[in-house]
Amino acid sequence: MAENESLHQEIKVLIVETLMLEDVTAEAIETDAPLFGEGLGLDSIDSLEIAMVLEENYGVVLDEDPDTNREIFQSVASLARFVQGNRRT
Amino acid sequence: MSAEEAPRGADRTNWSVHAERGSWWILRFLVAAIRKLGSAPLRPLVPVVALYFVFFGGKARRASRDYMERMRGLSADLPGPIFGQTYRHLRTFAFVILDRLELWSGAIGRFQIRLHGEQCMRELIEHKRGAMLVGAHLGSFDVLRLIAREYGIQVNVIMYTGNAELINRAFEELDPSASVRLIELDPHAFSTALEIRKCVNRGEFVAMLGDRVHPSATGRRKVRLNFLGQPADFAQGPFLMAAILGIPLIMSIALRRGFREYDGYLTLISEGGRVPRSKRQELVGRWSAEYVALLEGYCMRAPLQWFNFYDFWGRE
Repeated sequence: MAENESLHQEIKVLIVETLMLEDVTAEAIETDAPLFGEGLGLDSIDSLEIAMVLEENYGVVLDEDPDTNREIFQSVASLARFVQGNRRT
Repeated sequence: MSAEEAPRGADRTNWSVHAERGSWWILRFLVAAIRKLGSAPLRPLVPVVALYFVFFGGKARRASRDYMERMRGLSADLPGPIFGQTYRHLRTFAFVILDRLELWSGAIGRFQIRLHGEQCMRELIEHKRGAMLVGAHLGSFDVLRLIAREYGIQVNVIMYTGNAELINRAFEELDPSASVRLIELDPHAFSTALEIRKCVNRGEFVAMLGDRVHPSATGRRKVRLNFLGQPADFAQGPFLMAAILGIPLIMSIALRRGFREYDGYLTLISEGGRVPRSKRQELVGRWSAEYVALLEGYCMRAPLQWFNFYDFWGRE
């Protein structure tokens, strides 16, 4: 559980740094809140950047299947689940 | 989604709620007619349609008149009364639409395209390397489709649907050629950019229009640059995508030269390669500025082929 939380935190920091979000801190991102639309309001280019930074940092490979991605990009929690299940580093 | 079903409550002056008049069914009928009879019977109707819009076109006519006044102020070669210029502008638009219909009715062989600067494209194709092609609502974007066929490459056209793109969708249905694929761009969906990456990874080309900004675009996704004497918003998406993916960026414009004749201009803006995050802003800014400068040049060369019939310089 603690490991999970540190991964959550890591991913939040990656998101904030990668996207250079100005008014958002890693602490302000809720683990289960939606990243797109209502939540953080990220867009399509943001998702590409998140995908690329996760691939770089954890050696995961994000397949472009939209249905799979919809689940993965739900929230920080779902991103972490994906990373945990697929990481190579 | 038809034009009438465009998002309600949205700013009515915005391009995204404008639809090129006419419905899908009329288009289908026209293309079928052209397929059977050729475009000759329709050509005499073009001036009639243009005149109709000069008198009853409302927004389109106003936008055209304002644009023509602007271009005359910039000493584009546009003699005669403004009424006549607006008429010629709208007539040119109708001719380009008719050409598109004819192209897609299967008469590709009747068109002549003179390519300029295609060397950059040839080299990429040789190395099976994908690239971002950035165009504008100037002349005909469809000529790109011809280039795709000619070179046997896959082009993925990324655009918003639900407005003027009805036309494109009709074309897609009429000519489901494998060389051009339409990908819907929903800036709030998360998958479009990933889909673009997939195409590029396969060595395919991706084409986007850089002159219109989606109404929902935030400050991060647009840039205000001087264009024909006044600042206007331009999309950052194509340029950002090229930087993030490290792919070559080519500006692609096709201008109508005459009856079934076009000039295709390809200009390499960036050779691609990894862009460090710290350099991205600067590079994207430089590419956008180059794109806008080139676009100005094309506009001055072919002032009647600018097909953004809304207040392009207006603030949202």
